[in-house]
Amino acid sequence: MFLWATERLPQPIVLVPPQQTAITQHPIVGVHTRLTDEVEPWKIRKTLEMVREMGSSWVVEFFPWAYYESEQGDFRFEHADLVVDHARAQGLNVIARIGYVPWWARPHPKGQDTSLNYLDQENYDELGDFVFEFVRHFKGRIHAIVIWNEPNLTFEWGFRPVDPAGYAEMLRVVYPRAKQADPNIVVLGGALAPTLEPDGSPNGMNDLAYLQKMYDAGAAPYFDALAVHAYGLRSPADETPAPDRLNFRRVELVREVMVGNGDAAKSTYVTEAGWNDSPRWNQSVLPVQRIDYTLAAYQWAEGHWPWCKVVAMWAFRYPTPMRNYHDNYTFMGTDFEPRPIYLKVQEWATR
Amino acid sequence: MTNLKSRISNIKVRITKIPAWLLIVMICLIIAGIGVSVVRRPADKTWSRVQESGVVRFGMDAGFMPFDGLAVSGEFTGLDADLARELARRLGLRAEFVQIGADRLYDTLQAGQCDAIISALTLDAARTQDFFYTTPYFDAGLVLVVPTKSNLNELRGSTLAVEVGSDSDDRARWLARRTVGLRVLERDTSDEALQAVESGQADAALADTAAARQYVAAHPALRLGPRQTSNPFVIAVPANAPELLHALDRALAQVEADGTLERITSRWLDQ
Repeated sequence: MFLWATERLPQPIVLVPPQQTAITQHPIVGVHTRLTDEVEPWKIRKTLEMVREMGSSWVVEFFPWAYYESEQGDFRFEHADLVVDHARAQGLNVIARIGYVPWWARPHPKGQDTSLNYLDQENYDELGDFVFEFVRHFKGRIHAIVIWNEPNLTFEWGFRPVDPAGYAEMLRVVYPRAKQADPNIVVLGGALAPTLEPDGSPNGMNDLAYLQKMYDAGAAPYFDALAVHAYGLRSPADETPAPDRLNFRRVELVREVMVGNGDAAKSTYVTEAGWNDSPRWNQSVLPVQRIDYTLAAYQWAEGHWPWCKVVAMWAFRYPTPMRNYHDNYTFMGTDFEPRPIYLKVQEWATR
Repeated sequence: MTNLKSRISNIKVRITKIPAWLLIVMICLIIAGIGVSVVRRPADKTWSRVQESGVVRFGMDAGFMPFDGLAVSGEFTGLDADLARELARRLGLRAEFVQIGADRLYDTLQAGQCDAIISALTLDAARTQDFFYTTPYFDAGLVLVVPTKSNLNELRGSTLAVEVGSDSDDRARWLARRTVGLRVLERDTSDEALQAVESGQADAALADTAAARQYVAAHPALRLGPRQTSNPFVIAVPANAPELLHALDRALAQVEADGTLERITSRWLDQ
């Protein structure tokens, strides 16, 4: 009688379209998509089509370890395949950010409650195993992986005091496993949060200080390039950087740390950047400023940062509205209605 | 159809065959069941606490005037603050305010650090499992602003001024794809878009209702035109506070019926 309720409904068929080429006048243009929680395949396809049509040839996407290896050794990449295959079909380069620790790689909740960003050093090998499987599975289909996200923030480090040496150790464990799976994969370190947190802050560590401590701990051989986050907040894109300022060009200070540590030959990938135009947030700008600053940021990076491969703006589209200021980072509504910033970037990038 | 009629008549026949005493027992059981379910409904602890203390605590992000702000004296001010005080007064209570960042409003409400949120809050259907919303008290949707003497009935062939990149720009582009000859005139700010109507560069401007009302109040050559979108502001309470919700709705109905709501709104938007 209730068979209808228990039977799996037929899944919609969404074909991967014929191979497209991302046509852009500005290959530095990229966006961070949010397809991790996007269920319907047609929305994944539509999102990536619109990324290409905007003139972006790069996408950064989050691939949570906890989703793809929810039981140890049982790897399920169906959803990730969907995202990567559609991105590839649109001619997009994929940068995969990896994070989120499955329950089995964290302390037992009865002994210790931990967040999804908690990973003890004794479990780094398990992250290494996942990275090996992930990179092997997507060999030739993704350009780069980012190990972890903003490890200089307490929240992103499992609500523990941040630990640059611990993160360097993570890279030391994971890097060779990634290369073992695909020698051509680009392993990105960092993606530090731009922050001015003072010494001893419970919230995190200044990004420049953290990066130096990563180098001091011997991280350099274990990343091919550095991922950087570059939010402009209320400043124009070309505002001069300073150690006590958070602005788009803070990337140049990060670069100075790299160069000072002998890493001038490595590239930098801006995997998150952007401005917010919410009238409800005190770190936002007017919509017209957001458009101007975003275009200026792409142009600045293109004209002044020969070591920068991509500037990926946060965030292309959310699966559902956040109903707060975060919605004002997006380039289109959840209904695929392009916001004016999308059209302005498209006009500039594809003309 | 015949089949249906015969089924209905069969049911009638079956009901009439049930003895009267059994029907009475069944009705009693149903009434008793309703009674039990009413008794078992968990008490609204928020409302109980509010009544005991005589204070209702409103969470607010005081950074969005003319709705939510802080006076130099440190007192919460704006349309929402005035409305909250009036609602509390009608319920025989006193309003207190808790300053909360806009993206933490719901968390704070859920954590019990306030009893309700009044903060130019838009109804979020995705949260209705955890929160209840009152009847809307203001619609902040986009509205046309036209010259006072204009008899603009439709946008076909007209020029519509908007703040570039804003929600009104989004909507205008949407309208332009559906309206023959509609031209969108971009301006850097909402005020500049409204000025374009005054100066005759545009036939109408599109702006959110609060900004439009404020501008029109200071510029008699303009008036509000038809509303284009809806964006209702509501008050949120935890889903386990239905009595508080009911009380706030009751008070809102009163202030709406006797004109107080419009007076409060007008105090902040029309002067």
